[in-house]
Amino acid sequence: MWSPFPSEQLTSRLLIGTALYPSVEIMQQAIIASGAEIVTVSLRRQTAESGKAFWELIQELGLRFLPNTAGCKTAKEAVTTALMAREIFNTSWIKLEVIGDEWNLQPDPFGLLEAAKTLIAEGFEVFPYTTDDLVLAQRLLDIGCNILMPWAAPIGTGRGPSNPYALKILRERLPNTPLIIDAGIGLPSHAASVMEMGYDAVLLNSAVALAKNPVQMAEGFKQAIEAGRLAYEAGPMQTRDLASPSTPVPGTPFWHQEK
Amino acid sequence: MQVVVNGEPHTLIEERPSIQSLLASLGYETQSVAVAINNEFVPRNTFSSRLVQPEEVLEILSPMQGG
Repeated sequence: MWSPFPSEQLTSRLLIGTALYPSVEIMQQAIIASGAEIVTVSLRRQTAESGKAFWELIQELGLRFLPNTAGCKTAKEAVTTALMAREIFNTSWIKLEVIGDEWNLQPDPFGLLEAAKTLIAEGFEVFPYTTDDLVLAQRLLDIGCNILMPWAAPIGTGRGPSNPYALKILRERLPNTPLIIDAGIGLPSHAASVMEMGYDAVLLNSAVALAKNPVQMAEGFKQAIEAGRLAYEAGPMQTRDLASPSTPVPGTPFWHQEK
Repeated sequence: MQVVVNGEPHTLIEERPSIQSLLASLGYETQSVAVAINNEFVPRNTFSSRLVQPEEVLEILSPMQGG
């Protein structure tokens, strides 16, 4: 069990997105296989009929919704979208995205901070999608964020952690803040590596949805995230530059017999 | 009167309808949409009292897949 906030007890350390699957049925099976208890959702323009199937299926799963403000480029757009999401999804949780660059969907640190401040004053629990910048992370905590979601790499790239050093420092400097890696993960080994650093959870979408077999990949990520967490809690060995035999040396047969 | 709904121009027969009336005429179910007018959020509990004015820009959003 882990607890992003005192009021919330969770078993799974995997949060999963609901977009890009080959079908809503496969989405549903993949979410179940992942064991996730929190799913990300969004708000979009739709005709009166479209999107109904998705909404009905996702409600059936009975999981917690984490709506996003994907595509918002200003604090104002993100705040309006968050207010709309709170009403539709009946939750004060918001995955706050304020995008500063269209090419790599990099968060706009200034817009993010401004929007987070407004939303916290409005009573939201803000999950900011941020970079691995330590000072921005500290500013977000200063204004009242209880949780942070740094990227591993740009959204949808599947590249894995671009800057493991920055992620390691962030974890070490903020030991008591729930940190969820959001974006850029492509393989279970990427997810395991950030969990081994001590990250609290991982949020995924493309890596599962775009796999040839999303349901099996969801299971793979579930196991990798559990393995990474177990390793972190177990305390990894110290690395060494030189070899050190693992089999006991005393009693080695034929030892030094040629002398 | 003319309004813009989700980026498209619309001619409404009814003058200054309530949001509730506008949603019904466009086939939306009030419970599964959220509305913003001129980039400002409009709470659901004002749908019957808030009247849509000429040239206003409406966003009518629904739950959708997201990452």
